[in-house]
Formats: sequence, C-alpha cells, structure tokens
Amino acid sequence: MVDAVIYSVSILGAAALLVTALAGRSNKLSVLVGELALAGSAAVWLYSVYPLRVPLLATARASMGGFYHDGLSAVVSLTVLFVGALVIPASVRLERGAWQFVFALMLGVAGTIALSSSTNPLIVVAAWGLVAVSSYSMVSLAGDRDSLIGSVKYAFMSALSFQFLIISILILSTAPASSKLLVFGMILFFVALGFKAGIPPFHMWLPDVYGYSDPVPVSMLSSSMKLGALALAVRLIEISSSSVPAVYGTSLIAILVVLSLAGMLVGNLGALTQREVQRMMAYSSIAHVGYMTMALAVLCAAFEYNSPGALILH
Amino acid sequence: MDYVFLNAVWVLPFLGAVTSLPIGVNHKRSAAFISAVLLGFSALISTYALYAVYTGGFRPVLTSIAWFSFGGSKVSVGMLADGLSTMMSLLVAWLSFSIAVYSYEYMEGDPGTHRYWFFFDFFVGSMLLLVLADNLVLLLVGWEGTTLSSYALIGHWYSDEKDRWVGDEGRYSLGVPNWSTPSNSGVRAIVFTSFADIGFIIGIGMLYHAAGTLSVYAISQHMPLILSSLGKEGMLIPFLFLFSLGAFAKSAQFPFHEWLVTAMTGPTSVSALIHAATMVNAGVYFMLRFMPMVIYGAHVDGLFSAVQPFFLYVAVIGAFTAFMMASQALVSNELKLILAFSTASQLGYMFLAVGLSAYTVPSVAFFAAFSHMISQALFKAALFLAAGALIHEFSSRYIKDMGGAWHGMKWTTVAFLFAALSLSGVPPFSGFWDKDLILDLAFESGVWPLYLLAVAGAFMTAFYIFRAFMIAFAGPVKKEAEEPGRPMLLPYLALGLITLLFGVVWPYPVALGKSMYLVLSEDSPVRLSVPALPAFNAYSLAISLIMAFAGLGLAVYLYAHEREVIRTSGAGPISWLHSFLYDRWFINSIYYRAIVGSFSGLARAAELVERGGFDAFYNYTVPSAFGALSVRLRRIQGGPISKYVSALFAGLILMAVIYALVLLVR
Repeated sequence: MVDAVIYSVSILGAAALLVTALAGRSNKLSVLVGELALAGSAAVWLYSVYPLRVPLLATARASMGGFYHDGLSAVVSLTVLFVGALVIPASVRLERGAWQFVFALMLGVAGTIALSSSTNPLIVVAAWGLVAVSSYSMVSLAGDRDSLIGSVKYAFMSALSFQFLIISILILSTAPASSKLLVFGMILFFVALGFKAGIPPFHMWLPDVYGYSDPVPVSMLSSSMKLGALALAVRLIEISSSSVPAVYGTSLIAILVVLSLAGMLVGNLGALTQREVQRMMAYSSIAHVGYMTMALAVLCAAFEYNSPGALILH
Repeated sequence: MDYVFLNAVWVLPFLGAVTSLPIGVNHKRSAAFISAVLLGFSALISTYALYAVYTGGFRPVLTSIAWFSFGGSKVSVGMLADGLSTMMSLLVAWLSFSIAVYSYEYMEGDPGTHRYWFFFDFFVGSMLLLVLADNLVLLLVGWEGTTLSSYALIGHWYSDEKDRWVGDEGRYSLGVPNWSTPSNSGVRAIVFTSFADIGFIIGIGMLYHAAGTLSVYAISQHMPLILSSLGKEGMLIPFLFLFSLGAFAKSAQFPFHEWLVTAMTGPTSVSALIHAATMVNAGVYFMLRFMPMVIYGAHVDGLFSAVQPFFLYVAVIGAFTAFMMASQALVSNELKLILAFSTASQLGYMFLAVGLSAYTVPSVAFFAAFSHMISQALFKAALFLAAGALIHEFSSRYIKDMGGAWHGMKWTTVAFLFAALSLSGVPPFSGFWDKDLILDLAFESGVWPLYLLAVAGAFMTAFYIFRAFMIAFAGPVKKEAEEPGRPMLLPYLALGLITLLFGVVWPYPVALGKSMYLVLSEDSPVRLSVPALPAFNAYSLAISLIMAFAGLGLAVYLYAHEREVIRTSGAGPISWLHSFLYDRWFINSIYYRAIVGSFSGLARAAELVERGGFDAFYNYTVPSAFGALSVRLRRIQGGPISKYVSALFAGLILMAVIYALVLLVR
C-alpha cells in the first residue's frame, strides 16, 4: 500500500484547492473542509496499516518515485494529521480568515507526510520546501507586528538553510559509497535539520517565532511540522550507515551528541528564568529536540556497531 | 466445617470495622452496636470451630483458596484450625466481645468513637487472622494489622491532653522525660515492635529458603529436614533467634518491653484487650505454634543440644523480664502502669515456660505456657476493666487518689479481688495452677538462677497487686464511688468469676488427657499431649505457696493502716532504689540517651552538612549561577538577523571542528 502517501497527499491537496475556491465564504466551512480532509487522510493511513504488519522501519530502498510505507511514516503521518485536526478549529479567530490558515496547513501536512516517507531526493527537496513555505506563511497570517517580524526572520533563515539541504541531498545522492563526501553531506544535512527542528546554534529564529507570534500557528509549528525533518534524519542515518565508513560514523555521533547537549542546555537554561509561558514553551521545545537528537546519536551508534536496523528490529 | 464458615471468624470483625467507620461519623451508638454484635457472631462461630475440631478428635482442619504465587510457591488464604488455634481464637473472640460490650458504655460520649470502633474491630480481625492463618504470609498480615491498630488505639487521644499521659509530668531520669503522651506512645509502640519484626521477616525468608514452603502445616511436617539444612549452613541459632524476635517484641520481653509501659495512654478498654489479653499474647502463641516443632525436629535430627542454647536464652529473657517488671510494679503509682508491668512480667513467665521445654518434659512446659496465657488473659482483662471503672469513678489514674472503693463498688471489688488472687497464685484460682506449674518446671530443670528469679517475681507479684488493691479498695473513702452501669460491670464480673471457675475445673481436663492436644494436633508428627495431671514437686509447691501468701500478707499488713510506707523524699539507698525502680531501671533513659541520642547527634551533624554544604550549594550557588547563565543566553536572542546567520555558520564550523577532532583522536 505505497499508495497511502499519494492518496492522502491528494486528499489534502484537493482540500487546499476547495478552501481556496470557497475563500471567505465562512470560517466554519473552511474548518470543516480541513477537518474532513485530515480525517479522510487519516482513514487512508489507518486502512493501509490496518493489519499492523508493516515493518517499523523499511530498510529496502524503493525505486525512484516510490514512497516508503512503514511504521515510521505511518506514525509521523497520523501524528501530524491528529495535531492538525486539533489546531484547525482554533483558526476561526484568525483575522484574515480561516481559509488561508487551513490552506497553508493542508500543504504543510502534505509536505510532512511526503517528507517522512519519500525515497526520492527530488521529492525530499520539494516536500521540504512545501513545509517551509507553509510554515512561515502560517506564522505571518496572524498579521500583528511580532508575527510579521518572526515570519520574516523565519523565512530568511529558512531560505538559507534550504540551500544547505539541497547541497546535502545532492552530495548524498551522488557521492560514491564509502567516500568522505558522504560525511560532509550528513553535516550539511544537520545544519538544515538543526534549523528546522531548532537545535542550537541553528535555533536563533525559534524563540522569536515561537515566543512572540500568534500561538495558533506556533502550536502546529512547534509540534508536528518538525516531525518530517526528524523522520528524514532517521532515514538518512539508516541509509548512510551502510555506506559511511565507520571511522567517519564516529564523528557523526560526536557531532550529534554535541548538538544534543547544546539543545538540552540552551533550552532548559533559557526556560529556567523565563516568566512568559509561550516563550518558556519555545525554550522547552529546544530542550526536547535536544533529547530527540540524543536518540538520533544512539541510532547512529546502533547502526554502526551492530548490523543495520538492529535497534529498530529488536 | 467449610471454608466460608471458618473464615467468617476473622472476616466478620473486619466487616464490623468497615461498616462502623462511615456509620460512626454521625451515628456513634449504632456503630458501636454493629461492631459489638458482629464480634458476638464471630465469637459464636469460633466456639463452633473449637467444637468441630474437638469432635473431630483434634485433627487439624485445613481450608484454603489460592491468593498469589511467587517463585513456584503458592500462598493461599488458608485457615488452620487445630487444638491450639481454635482455643486461642475462642479466647480472643469472646474476650473481644465482652470488652466491646464494656466499651459500649465506657467510650460513650467520646468524640472519636468511630475511629475507636474501626480500629477495635480491625484489631480483632487481624488478631483472629494471625491465630487462624495456615501460612506465614497471612500470619504476617494479621501480625502487622495488630501492630497498626495497636498504634492507632494507643494514640486514640492524639490531642495529648495531660490527663491522658502516662508517667509523671516534669520528672526526668538521666535527663530523659519519665512521662509519655498518647501520640508519642503510639509511635514508640510501632517502632519497638516493627524493629523486631524485621528479624521476624528475615526469619521467614530463611525458613522459606530452607523449607520451600510457608504453610504452617507443611513446615510442621518437614521440621527435621528444615533444621538439618539450616544446621548444615550453620544458621540454626541465628534462624531461631531472628524468627522469634518479633514474638519477643510483641510480648514485650526485655529489651523490647518499654513500649508496653507507655502503651497505657490508650483507652483502658484497649489496654485490657490489646495490651493485656490478646495482642501481647500473640508472641507467646507464636512460640507455642513453632517451638514444639523445633523441639520435635531437633529430637529427630539429633540436633537437640544445638538448639538448647536458644531455649536457655528464651528462658533467661523470660525469667529476667518477669523479675524486672514485677520489681517496677512495686513502686508505681498509676493503676494502669502497675497492671502493664504485671502483664509484661506474666508474659515473662510464659516465655520462661517455653524456654524450659528444652530442659524438662516439653509437653508439660508448653502446656504450662498455654494455660498461663489463658489464665493471664482472663484475670488481666478483668483487672484492667475494673481499673477502668475505678479511674473513671475517681477521675484519676493515680492510686494515691483512690481509696475506699469497696464501700460503693462491691461487685467491682469482688471481681478485682478474684483476679488479683489469681494473679498472685492463690489456690484454687487458675493462676495458681499454671504459675505453680511453671515454677515447678524451673525447679525441676535445675537451672537455679531461673528458679530464683521466678520465685522472687512471684513474691513481688502478690505484693504489688495487693498493694494496689489495699490502697484503692480499702482504706479511707477518698470519694464516693458508684458501680458503673451493667454493660461495663458485667464483663469484668464475669471474667472474675470465670477465673475462679477455670481454676476449680483446671485439674479435670488435664486428667482427661485426650482433650489436651492443645499444642499441635493429633494428626501432626508434632504430637505433644499432657497425659495426666503433672506431678507437682512438694518442695516447689510449698515454696511458691509461701511466696504468694507472704507477698499478699505483707501488702495487706503494710497498707491496711499506713498509706505511705516508704518515704521517698530522703536520700540514701532506699530512696535510690525507689527511683531506680520508679524510673524503670533507667532502661528507657538509656535507650533515649544511647540510641535516640546518638541518632539525633548524627542528625545534627547531617544538618550542618546539609545547611552549609548542600543547601547553600543547591539553593544559592547553583540557582544564581544558572540564573545568570540563563539571562545571558537569552540576551543572545533578538537583534539583527546577521547575528543569526553568523550563528548558523559558527555551528557549521563547530561541526567541522568536531569532525576533525574525532579524526585526530582516532
């Protein structure tokens, strides 16, 4: 059932078109369309994994244009769909109309789903861009000064880090196996990931956006929009584990450990004396991404020292 | 006798506990009534249980359902009804019922009645569970249940009014207060008994390790095997010592006796039930349950001389406690304290008898301990209940405030006198037979120090109880006293009469022989029967009678006219002896000085480290450091976007540096 990705992305895309067509009719209608699309998409995913026989992490490389269909993509997709369903109703109070928010959210969710399950470097780049664009458009929707400043900073930094992603994907998909270049590719990917997920020192935009913008888009951004990037990290680590020489693998682990420590320290220390809840949450999310980065380092270690997939399978 | 029926004996009191608590908040009298009635039913069923075991020829009745299993061993909610357990449960259930009837009036108007009845019934349920349990886990559940309810009832008047205290306010010995408040006493009780229970639990573990089972009946079957396997590991004496440690604390034997003294802060009915007649007997019951097995197993294995030192230790502790506590009772001014000292002293006699089982005829020794346990429960409950009436009438716990109670409280006087005669060992009261039997055993054993301690204790026993009797009941009238109402009077009057009746018929069941499969059942390999009336040694009999009458006579002679015989104000050896006895041999002070003192010293040292070191570090140094760090970190945030971009590239460089470093190190 590789088609789950295609069906769900199509449903979400159709919903985005539909709310644009209905533009401005009624906020409630837009919300309803969005919720239905998310529910339909979730139904597709649930149906596709129904017997729960899918592997937790698919290790076989699918062909060009295909998608992974495994536990990781299912969990990420269902999570982002669920969070989206929770966030959408809150958009009713947004000034410029809910339809714009629903539109952006549909695209962001679709991008996240594609990112978590794509096997193809081109689709990765496209999905990443989709998520990025929809993210900063969501932030700017609230229209207040703080949101706009956050949105602009976000967009700028996003564009910058997008370059790193493109270069890294280029290196990773073209470099020969066992070459040093692969490690550089991974390092460049970590810059993009660090930006997207908010790992210090690539996190600078995050407190501005999370801490000052309207809380409705932030609740989507801070929770589920970074899942696609993290899922991609898991996949890249898994794929490169067989081709990156062990000695370079160690340096990747060391980098991830340092990043993780930085995330935990900066996040928790920043939250420590914070008096405003929303900004405290912003720092808290940096800290939590730090914990997740530690899991990525462990994943690297598991792939390096045992056979590929050992951690996941056992 | 089926499972449900036998379990009802202990389930009914628990039912009373859970129903009386919610009802008792608003309907105190109904809660008391429900509690007492359910205890009555429990007593009736326990009577039937004894009857069933008796007609079954004292074959043990085992009923059980599975509870849980661990390590291949199953623990069941099972009952073991044999001669010993059914007689004990009969005693417990009927005493509880009669004291519940007494409490119905005694506790009237008390604001905490619902608590009282909850824990009262909870106690009775736990005690009966302890008695009837067929495995050690269930026994331990009941055992700790009695500890818990004892704690709660000792501290029943937890608001610590002065008239609920025990001891003399303002009196210090070695700088340690002589008095204790109810809440303090409750904690003392739970600390003393639970400390020893650690040993008990370790003992259970050792037993399980050796036996692979926790069933009491199975243990009785395999005792020789268990003892020999423990003996091979050199753990025989440590095992016996640890296993019985809980029993020593429960029965207030030296060095754990102190909790029982201050336990007198509880309501008098509680003192009568828990701290005289039932719970403190649990230790003796435990010894009677397991020590015959040990004697039997040791005989089979040829390990008898190996376990003998343990029994000598039991006997020495028992005799010493009997002597020491009797001596403290000589000078006490509080009626309940005299009775508490007396209880510990009498329990000492029972332990002495258990210990002597390895030096004389075991069956006779165990029988003597059992019989004395029953007699003591009966007369001590009567004494306490009568004392409660006295304290109530004279509104004071001191005997010096009492006097001439005889004029207004004729029936109470009769009940107290009967019980006191039994305690003193005057024939034909029940106390005479079994105390004399114990003294006789000590005499026959040939261990003279034990005999001397026991005989001296017997003399003092007669003296202190008649001292209390003469002061409170004879002499000038201090206050017009009246008999209490029937619910209070009848229980202790009945108990006083029973103690006489039990003494009169005592020789007959013994002579019947067959009915005395008390200690363990006929079916079990541990068969200990008392075939006929034990032969009393004429010398020993004469000496103990002389001692009883001498003590009694001396007390009557001294206190018939003169109220205060020994002036305690002056200096000199008599005065020193008086304060030595009055301050409980300074044992309490030594405990506080040595154990509590050293721990509080340790706590003060720890406090210094805590305050100066950890607190300063965690509450001042770390927070201020991290606070400053946090503020600085956040100051990076905001400002021109070029700063952000440079951070991004700094991160990239950082990663490259890490990469290079790792390569260098490798």
